[in-house]
Amino acid sequence: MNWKKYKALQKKDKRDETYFIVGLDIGNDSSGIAFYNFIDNEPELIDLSGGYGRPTIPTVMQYIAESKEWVYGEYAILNRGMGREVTLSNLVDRLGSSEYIDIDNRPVSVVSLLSMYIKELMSNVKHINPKAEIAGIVASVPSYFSTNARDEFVRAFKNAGYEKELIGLVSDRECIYSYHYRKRSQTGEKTLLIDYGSRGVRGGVYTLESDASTLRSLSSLFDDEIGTRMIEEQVKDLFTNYYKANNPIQARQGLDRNILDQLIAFVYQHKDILFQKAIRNKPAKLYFNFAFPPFQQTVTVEDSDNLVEPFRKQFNKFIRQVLEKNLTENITVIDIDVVLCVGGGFEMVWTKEAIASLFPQGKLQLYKNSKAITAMGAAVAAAQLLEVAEGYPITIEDRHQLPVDIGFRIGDNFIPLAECNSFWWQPHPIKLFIINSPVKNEVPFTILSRSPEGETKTLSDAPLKNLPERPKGTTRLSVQLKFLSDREAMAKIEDCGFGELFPKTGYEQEITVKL
Amino acid sequence: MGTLGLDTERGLFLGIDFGTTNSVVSIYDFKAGEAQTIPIDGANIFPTAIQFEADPDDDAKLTRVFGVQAREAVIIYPQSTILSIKRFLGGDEKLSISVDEKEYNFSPQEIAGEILGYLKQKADEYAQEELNISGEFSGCVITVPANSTDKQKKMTKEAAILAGFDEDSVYLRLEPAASAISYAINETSDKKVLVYDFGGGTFDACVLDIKIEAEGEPTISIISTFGDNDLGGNDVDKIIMDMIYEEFKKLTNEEIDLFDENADDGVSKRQKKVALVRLQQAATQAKERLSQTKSTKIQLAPLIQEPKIVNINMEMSREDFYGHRRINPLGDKPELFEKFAGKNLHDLIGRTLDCVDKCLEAGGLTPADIDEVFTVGGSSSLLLAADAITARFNKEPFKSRISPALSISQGAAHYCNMIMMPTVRGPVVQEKTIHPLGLEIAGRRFLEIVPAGETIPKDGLTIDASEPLTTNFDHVSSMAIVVYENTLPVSLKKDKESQSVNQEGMKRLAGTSLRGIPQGPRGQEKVKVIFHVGQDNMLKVTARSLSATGVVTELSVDELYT
Repeated sequence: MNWKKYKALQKKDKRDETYFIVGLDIGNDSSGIAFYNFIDNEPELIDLSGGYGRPTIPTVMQYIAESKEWVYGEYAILNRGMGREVTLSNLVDRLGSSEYIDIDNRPVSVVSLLSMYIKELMSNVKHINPKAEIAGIVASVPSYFSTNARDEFVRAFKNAGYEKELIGLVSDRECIYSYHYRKRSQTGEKTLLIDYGSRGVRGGVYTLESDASTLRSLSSLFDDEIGTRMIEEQVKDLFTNYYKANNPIQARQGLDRNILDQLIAFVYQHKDILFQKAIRNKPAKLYFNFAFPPFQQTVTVEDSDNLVEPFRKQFNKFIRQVLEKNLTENITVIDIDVVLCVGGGFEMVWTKEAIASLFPQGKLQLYKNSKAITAMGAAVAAAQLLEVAEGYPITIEDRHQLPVDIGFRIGDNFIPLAECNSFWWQPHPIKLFIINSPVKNEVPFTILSRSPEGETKTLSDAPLKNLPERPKGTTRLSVQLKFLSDREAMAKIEDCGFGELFPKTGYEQEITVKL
Repeated sequence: MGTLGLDTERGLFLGIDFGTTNSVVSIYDFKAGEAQTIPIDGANIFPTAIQFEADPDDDAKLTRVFGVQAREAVIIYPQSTILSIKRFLGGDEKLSISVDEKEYNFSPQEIAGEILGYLKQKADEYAQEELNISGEFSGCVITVPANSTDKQKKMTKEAAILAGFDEDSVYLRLEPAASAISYAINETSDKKVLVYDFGGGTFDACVLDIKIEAEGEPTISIISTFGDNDLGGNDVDKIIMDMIYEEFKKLTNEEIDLFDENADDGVSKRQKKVALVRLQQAATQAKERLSQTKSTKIQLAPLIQEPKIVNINMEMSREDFYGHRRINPLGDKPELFEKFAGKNLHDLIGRTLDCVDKCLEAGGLTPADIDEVFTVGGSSSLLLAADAITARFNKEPFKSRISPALSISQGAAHYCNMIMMPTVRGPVVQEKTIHPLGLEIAGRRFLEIVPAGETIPKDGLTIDASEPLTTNFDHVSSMAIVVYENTLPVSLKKDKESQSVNQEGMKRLAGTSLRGIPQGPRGQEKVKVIFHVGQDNMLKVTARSLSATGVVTELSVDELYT
């Protein structure tokens, strides 16, 4: 990162309203954009809905084959079923693997797709000020992002017309803490960060070191069973059942694609009704106006509670685990100074109530736009890096993250199973490989670590034993690494078979690795 | 305890943008030093809609549903739902709804009062529960279109009083000025700004002069304004409705008239109402989609089921939408339809630009004098509107740093701050008269009494007519007092002496008679006329017979409409 461009601008009047320092958060579920307001010395969120809805927009883009055009955000959801469209989500998670996606019989790289999305997001700065010039961007990235993913992300910005020199990547947690500590530095403060997102809930306990810019991680966990996406699925099932109950003939014949698309849009527009305070006072009414004949459905607080209950239980359990499973002595509720509640999950009343009941001493930091805190923090980090705002961006030292790649070797090639920076609790992808020599019972298999500098160290060289005998190039195996704790992992190797010629045998072997 | 309730005597004030389609409420947060939008039912934007239901506990009573749920209920319960009430403010038409086959009638201000009352109640709850502020909102600043009539303003004020705000604490302010405050709050240099406010039901153009005072605070003056109270996003929707209705006519061989409830065409009244609402909602959705994509589909399958099934399945391109010229009245009154017949979207946008031109002319300005254009209101996001502005001014429009949908309400909240804390620093709006006001005198001539651009002090502007009126005939005991507003742009105005009330741009605001004048020969009795303009641009005219036994009438301009 080189902030040469802005440094030149910095000599000018800092209040010049045409220079924008931007913070971007392109999450898997939603995206937000903020800029640093020189007048107030505060980050300011750009309302991407124009005030008509949520200030963040869904990270969804859609290609409409008929008119060969792209739509983004909310429209990509509401536009479903209007034509022969391809709807894409989870773009950020797909970075790092050089993936291509088929768009109307044309392979398009994820990097190119993301660059289009970035361009669209950044155009909102121009909406505020058509003369806007971008002086610096900090984009938040998931903490577990690999080097490849980071490189591809920067490339996406370049394709969108933003030079590498303008871009800084800061991890999402560091952005959140840059926002939290933007005007205060409480060294020694112990914070619990709960980031409730679409894929799951991430929780961690951190303490601010005496240098006021380093956070040490004491605990870090993730639960992928209670993300808002899972809740949305439940809401979709509930609404679909309402629809079926009112349209029994269609229900028997099976709902067609058009209705299913309409239901998805309907869920998107109406799901919040189940999680707001108002439903406690009066049952809510849903109007299925897309149906014919249209019908009304009353939803009660009991319906809402029934849906939420399993998530509430799991959420409470998760928070307790975050405190219990830590690197030091047991952390209790009393030890926590502040609980930071970020992510879209905190837009629901039940999550706020659940966390408030766990921390009755009123240590909660709830935000009006909990989904947008990362983008706001990114804007702060950008302003700090450019020395426009006071302080330094927060950096996190986390022993729960792998400092090295862990993988295995085939010939001269290192195949990573878990990448540097990923968390031990994170699911790691399955890798397939073919043994390019005849297999007779036993094959050497080395698991090793590789530092960012490229130095390797053997962690295990236990061979694969009792493999089915096969000719050269017909033994296809899968390997997946699963961490049992932050110190121990297990590699599971399975036979995948080789077409009809050599069907799967059920062979599997587990190798434990000490880190 | 929050810091809002500073002036305990006057209570809390709420800033309200009471829009045709949507409403927004905001407060000024003294602690944060900024206006803050209050979410109603979880969202910043509250659909200006109400639906009535029978009270399950008491048949004689009605319960009310508001906002999103009311807007959505209209498809199933069109006979008991009212949308776009703002369009009825200013008229005398009673609104009729039907619940369980019982008819109920309401005045427009009663309905508006119900909706405002709900906004007040929700804002009270929010202030107490979320902001920890005790008390409730006893006062408000409600914004009105720059070109609204005095009767519209009066009815808006009545609605606010019905909603539970104190009579003395209801202030009306102009929408463009309110949005200008939101915009100007971040300004650091002197500018002339054009506000292009294209809302759901009205269009206003307004030129503002923003000057940064020595203390760094902006002072905002309205130089000129011009608008159209019958042009908004609803009329844009009607172009698409018209396209769908044409398809419907084709499919039914023009045998069914959805707009004639009494036509004997085999479609029940209820089915027609439902079909029309669905038609309207499909049009609105298609408009929104066409702002993002080049084409969209419209599926209303079926639109009606009896006497035969009629399915609408249309592919509509942006080009079709832009080019379509309206054919059907679609329920518009003849005088209104005359305005839109044969017109397409280019014409509608053209009409907004005509208003912009007249607004500039009224201020003696040209497009080159405007430093920035900024857009307000949902309809201003039409691509065609942005293109037209860019072409006219040779610069792209700004959207306000705060959302175009929220800027009016947040500006109203700043006004609240000025009322509650007049000594606190902040943007200042210099209220000025917008158009010349005067009387009709002998020979149908226009006597200008209040010139345009006159600063309105806090307590209002009072101007005596330069000469008293005299009786035109012998032995008359009454005299007509007719008030006119000259809305003609400056360049087209004739000199003051030769202006006639018949000329283009003259708007008759009010009229009454001063009765009980002592009878005498022509010209003997003299009547003094005094105009008083409040900061909300509302006009009160006092006419006083100058003879010893003379009479006084404090004529409200609104008596014209009674």
